[in-house]
Amino acid sequence: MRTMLSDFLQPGLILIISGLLLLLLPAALRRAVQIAGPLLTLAAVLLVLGREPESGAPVQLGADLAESGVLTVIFALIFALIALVAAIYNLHEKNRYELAVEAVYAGSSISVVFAEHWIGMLIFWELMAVASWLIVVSSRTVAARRAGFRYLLVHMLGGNLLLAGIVIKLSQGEAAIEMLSVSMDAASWLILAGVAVNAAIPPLNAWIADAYPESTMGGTVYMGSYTTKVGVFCLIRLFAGTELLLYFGVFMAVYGVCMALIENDLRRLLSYHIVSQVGYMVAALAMGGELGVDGASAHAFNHILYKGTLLMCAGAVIKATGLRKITDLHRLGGLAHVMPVTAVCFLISSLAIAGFPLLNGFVSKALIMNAAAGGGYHWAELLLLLASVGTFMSVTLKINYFVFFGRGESEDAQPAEGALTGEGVRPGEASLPLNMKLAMIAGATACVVTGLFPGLVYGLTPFGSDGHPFTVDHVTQYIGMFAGAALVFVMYIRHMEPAAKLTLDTDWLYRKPLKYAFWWLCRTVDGVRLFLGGKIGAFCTRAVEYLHDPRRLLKAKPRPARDCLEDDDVLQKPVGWLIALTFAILLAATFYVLIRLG
Amino acid sequence: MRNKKIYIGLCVIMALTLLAEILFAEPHFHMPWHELAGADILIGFGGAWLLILLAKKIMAFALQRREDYYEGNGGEDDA
Repeated sequence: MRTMLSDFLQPGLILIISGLLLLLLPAALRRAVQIAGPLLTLAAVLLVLGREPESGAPVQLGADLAESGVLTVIFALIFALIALVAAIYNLHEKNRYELAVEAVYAGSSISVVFAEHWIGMLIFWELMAVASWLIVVSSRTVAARRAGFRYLLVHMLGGNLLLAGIVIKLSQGEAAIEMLSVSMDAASWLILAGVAVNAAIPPLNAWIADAYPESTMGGTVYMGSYTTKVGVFCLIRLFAGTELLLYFGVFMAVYGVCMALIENDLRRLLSYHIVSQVGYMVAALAMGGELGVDGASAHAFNHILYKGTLLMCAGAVIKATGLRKITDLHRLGGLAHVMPVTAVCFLISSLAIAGFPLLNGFVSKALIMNAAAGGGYHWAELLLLLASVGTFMSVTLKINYFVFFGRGESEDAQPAEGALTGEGVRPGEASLPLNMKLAMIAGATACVVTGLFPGLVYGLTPFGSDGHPFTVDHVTQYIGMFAGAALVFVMYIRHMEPAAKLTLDTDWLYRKPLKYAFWWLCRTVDGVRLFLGGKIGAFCTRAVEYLHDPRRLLKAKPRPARDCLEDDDVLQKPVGWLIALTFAILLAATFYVLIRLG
Repeated sequence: MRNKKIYIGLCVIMALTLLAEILFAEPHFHMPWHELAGADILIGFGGAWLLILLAKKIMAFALQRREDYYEGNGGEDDA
C-alpha cells in the first residue's frame, strides 16, 4: 500500500502545475507549456505504469481490482493521450484562464485515477468539479453562466454525497480505497450516489446536455472526455458486479439515443450520446466478470477517442459557420464540400461510435456483447443492440446527412452573425486554424488504428480479455443491422430532420417546479414573517409600554410622549427591556424546574 | 431515382450479409435469436422503426417545447 503522499505526487500533478503556469506565463511561452504539460504527463504515466510491480499472481475480481492498480493503466493512458490531442486542438486559444482550468481539470481527473486513499480521491474529485465549472463559464455568455451555475449545483450535490460516504468510511478507520460492491452499507450507497452524478446516471444526467453545449469548443472536448469517464472508472473500481447498475446502464443507452434522435443542437445531441455510451459502460461493469470489466474499460478508452473527435468536429463546424442547430446547418447545403477534413473525420468517428466493423467502437462493443451473452443477460444485449441502431441513426446518418452530405434546402442561406466567414463566402475550413484540423485527424486516425488492431486496447484492459471481434457472426451482425436501420432511415427521411424545439430533460425538475416551489416557499415564509412581525411587534410595543409603567394597568392614563425628557415617568423607567427579559428567563427557568421536579 | 439506388444498394448489402451468415458464421455465444438467420437485419429494421416511433412520435410530443421555454417571464431563468 502506498502512502498518502503518493496520492499527490503522481503524473496528474504535472498537468495541474502546467495549468498554474499557463495562468502566470506570458503569451509567448504559453503554447510551449500547453503541449509540454500533456506530453510530460504522458511520459510520466508511461514511466509510473511501467514500474508497477508484477506480483505474478493473476488479478482476481473483487478486492484486487480496487487495489492492484491494473485498472489505472488504461484510464491514465487515455486521459493523458486525450489531454495532448485536446491541447493541440486548443493551441490557438488565447484565453489563458480557460487554458489554465482545462489543464487543471485534466490533471485532477488523472489524479483521481491514481488516488489510493479516499481523501486523495475526494480532493481531486472536488477540484475536477470546480475546474469543469470554470470551463463551462469560460465562454462568457449568459446561457453559459446559468448552465454553469446549475452544473455546479448538481456537482456539489454529488461531491457532498461522496464526502458524506467518505467521512463514514474514515470514521470506520478505512483510509484506503477498496471495493464496495462486496458489502453495501450506508457509506457505500452514499459514495455510489456521488459517483453516479459524475457518471450521469439518471435522474442526475441532465447536466451533460445542459452544460456541455454552452462551453467553449475546446472546453467541450475536455469535458466530454473526463468527468463521466472518471465516474465510470470509480464505478468499475468500487462497484463492478453490482447488478442494479445494469438496469440503469441499459436505460441510459436507449434513453440517450432516443433523446439524440429528436435533438436539434449539434453539441447537445452529442452530449446525449455521452449518456448513451456511458450507459454501455455502466451496463458492462454491472454485468461483472472479467469480460464485463474489460468491456467497460475498453469502451471508455475507445469512447474518449471517437467522442473527442466528434466533439472536435462539431466545434470546428460551429466555429466555421457560427451555427449550432442542425436545422440551420442543413440550410447551408452539405458542408462536406467546404469542410472536407472535418466531414471525413466526423464520418469515421461517427461510424466508430455506432460500432461499425474495423473501427474502435466495434472492438469494445464486442467485449460488452460477449459479456452480456456469457452472463445470460439476453434482454440487455438486445436493448444494447437497439441502442447501437439508434446511435447509427442519430449520429452516423442524421448528422452526416443533414450537416455534411445532404443537399440543403437553399443555397443562399446565410451563416449566423458571428460566423468566421467573409462577406458572401460560404463557411469553410479555411477559417479554421491548422492545429484544429491536425487534432481532428489525429483523433480519427486513432479510431481507425485501434479498430484495425484491437489488441492495442485489449492489451491494456485489466484482464486482457479478447473480444474476437472479427468473426463472421460479429461482422455480419453489425453490417446487417445497420443496413436494416439505414433502410428505415431512408424511408422516413422526411421525419428525421429535427424540429427547431427544445427538448425537456430531468433538469426541468429543478428549472421549473423546484424553482417555483422555492419561490413559493420564500414568499410564504416572507408573508408569515411580515404577518407575525406586525402582530408580535404591535404586541411587544404595547407590552413594553405597560412594563415601562405598570401603573398604567390601574389608571388609564395616556403615556406621555417619549421625547418629553422632563416627564418623571419616563426618567424613572421602573421596568424596561432588561427587566422584561430577566422576568421571561425566570419564568422559563421556573417552568423547567417545575416540569423536571414533576 | 436516387432513393431507389439507395434501396437497391442496401438490399444487396443485406442479402450478402445474410448469405455470409448462413454459409460461414459460427456464433461465438448462442443467443436465442441467433437460431434465425438474418435476425440482426430484422433487429436493425424493427429497432429503427421502433426508435423512430418512440422518439419522434411519443417523446417529441411529450418533451419538446418552444426554444425559449426556459426564458419565459421576461427571460427570468435564474435556476
